[in-house]
Amino acid sequence: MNIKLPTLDQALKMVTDRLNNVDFFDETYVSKQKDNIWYKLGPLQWLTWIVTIVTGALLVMFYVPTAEQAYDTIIVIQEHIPFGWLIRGMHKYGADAFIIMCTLKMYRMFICADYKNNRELNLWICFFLLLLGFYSGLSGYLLIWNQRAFWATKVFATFPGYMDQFGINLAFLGETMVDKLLALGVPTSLPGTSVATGAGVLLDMKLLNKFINLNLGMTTQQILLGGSAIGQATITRFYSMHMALSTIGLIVTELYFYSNKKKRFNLPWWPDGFLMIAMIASVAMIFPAEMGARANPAVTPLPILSDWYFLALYQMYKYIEPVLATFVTVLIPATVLFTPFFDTSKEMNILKRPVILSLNIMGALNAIAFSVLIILNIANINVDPPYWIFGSTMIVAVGIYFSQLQYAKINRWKLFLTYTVFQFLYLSRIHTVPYFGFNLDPILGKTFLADGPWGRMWVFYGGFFLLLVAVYIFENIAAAKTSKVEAKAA
Amino acid sequence: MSNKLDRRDFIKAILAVPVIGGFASLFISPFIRYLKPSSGPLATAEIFKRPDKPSPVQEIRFAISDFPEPWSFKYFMFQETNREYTSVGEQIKTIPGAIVKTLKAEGKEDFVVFSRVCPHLGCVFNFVPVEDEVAAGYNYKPQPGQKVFACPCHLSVYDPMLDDSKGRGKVVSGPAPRSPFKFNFEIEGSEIVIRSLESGGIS
Repeated sequence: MNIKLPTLDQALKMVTDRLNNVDFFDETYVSKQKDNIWYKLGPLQWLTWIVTIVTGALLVMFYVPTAEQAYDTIIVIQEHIPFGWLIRGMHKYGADAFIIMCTLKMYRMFICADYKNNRELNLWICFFLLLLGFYSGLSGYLLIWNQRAFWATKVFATFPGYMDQFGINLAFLGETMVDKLLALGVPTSLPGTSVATGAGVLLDMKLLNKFINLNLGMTTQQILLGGSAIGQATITRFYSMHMALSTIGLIVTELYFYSNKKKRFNLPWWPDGFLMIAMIASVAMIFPAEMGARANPAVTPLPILSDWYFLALYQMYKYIEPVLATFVTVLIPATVLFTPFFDTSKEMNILKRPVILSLNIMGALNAIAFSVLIILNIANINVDPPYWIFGSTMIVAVGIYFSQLQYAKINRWKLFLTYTVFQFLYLSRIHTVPYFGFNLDPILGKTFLADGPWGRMWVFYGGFFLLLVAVYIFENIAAAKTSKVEAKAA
Repeated sequence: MSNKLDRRDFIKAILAVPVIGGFASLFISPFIRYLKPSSGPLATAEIFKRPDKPSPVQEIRFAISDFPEPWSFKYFMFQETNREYTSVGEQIKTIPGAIVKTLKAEGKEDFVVFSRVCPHLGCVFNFVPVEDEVAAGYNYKPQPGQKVFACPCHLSVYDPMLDDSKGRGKVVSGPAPRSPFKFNFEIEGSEIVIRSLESGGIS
């Protein structure tokens, strides 16, 4: 093994190279637009964003962000103010279009390898714009103060609470050391409880015997909601962030365009720009934005659905333990952000990068399948998750198989090793947690994961073994055919 | 931009870390206190403490004679004052609750009084005494005579006769992490008095 750490100069160069290659809305890819229409997504992303900001600025003139008046002002905008319904519809569908553009652009960046040649930062920018869209969508629909808004916000605000259970495991310090720390007044969630009887929230789950709880979850909840419950402070905070984040983003992009003398919208306004705006406006006319019923904290509507881009995430919450679900919610963005750094080859063709391709397919299929399942209201925590994880790992296993086929003459042991490393680092990352000091077994008690390490092995490696069997069969059939052909020729 | 780094720049960079870090840490504490004003003056320590607790507005009373036989139940609304970071400073929230008379069991009260706010992700759950309904709608087949609470959102099912580490209402199916939050109640003569709610969760 020969691992070279970068020197400080090289590290600085890595950063400056990426900063010099920054690209917000595909303004450096204008020449590619003729060959590949997907490079028009960047300008359209900018356009949909601006449509949303402009219509939002118009809505602000009438909207009153208070729990008593919010719903009524929306009714007024919708029914009594001339063209109010159109402005509101365009705001909603403009935001939806922005999220669609961001998502498609993310996929394009992965498929066309736009992150290669020191351009990883561009993928990060696109991803943060997508997150901006998600956050604005979430904070935006609370402002309507209808049933869906209220209950979706409740779910959104409840799941960070599970971060309370991400303790810091101090067991490696030894019991006396931890007892000393507790005696010094290091905070835990159950002050005064000794190590022997167990201190902290994690012990509610019988998860750990020794840990320090930072109370991250409750603090995050209270900062998000502006108190301990959804109410006036929540509307005020969401309203402020809903506008502030887009405004800050707008200032940053405008400064960038100004200082680099770039054009904002790199498409002809006619017909491309006009068509996009016309599409948003016509959708707003044909399917007017919904109102829903006024928020009622005492009644949960059924079925409870969020906006379309969160459906898959909600389905995942039905399938895995909430602590893990929170953990995975944090890890999905991390995966997207850091995957480009592992794709280090010079290859640009997606078909010759099978692992990235299979990861993309897995992500897209998961999102689509979960969204369909939640709409059909199908979820059984005791039955479905193995199929889901089995299927996901199978797709990625196929990608790894083809990558091995491509870069080396296939070597089953190497394949096995790659798959193992991949499993431990990637899809089964939640199961690697125990190896770093957390024992999650007790809280997995209700799912299939309770089958113990061997049961898990079956779920995770079953796909791999099936794949090997398939490979064996196919290769032997192919070998038999070629030998027949050779025999005939002879 | 030059990519070379000479010794002087390197030393400057190294020295900048504690200086910038020191200034940053000066701002972290006031900033968190700004966002969460209920924190005390030593916010960096204070944010790690338990949250500001809600307080009950009014106690609720039920006559024991309202519950003639096991598994008769009533829903009620319990009001709590919650902290809110506005000029008003607090708001009154209504918590849906359920009181159920259970079977007699050794070492257990005759009643369970649960908050109907699901400890999973905050939906309002119901007492579902009809076994077929549970089997049809909630992915769980109760044993004969088993009565359960069930949440329509993510299909958690709670059995009031079983215990977990948080008391009665063990989760028998679904993703919920713990039994429901409980009301503290006392039996005074012929009345049940519900005084306060176990803290935690979002209301």
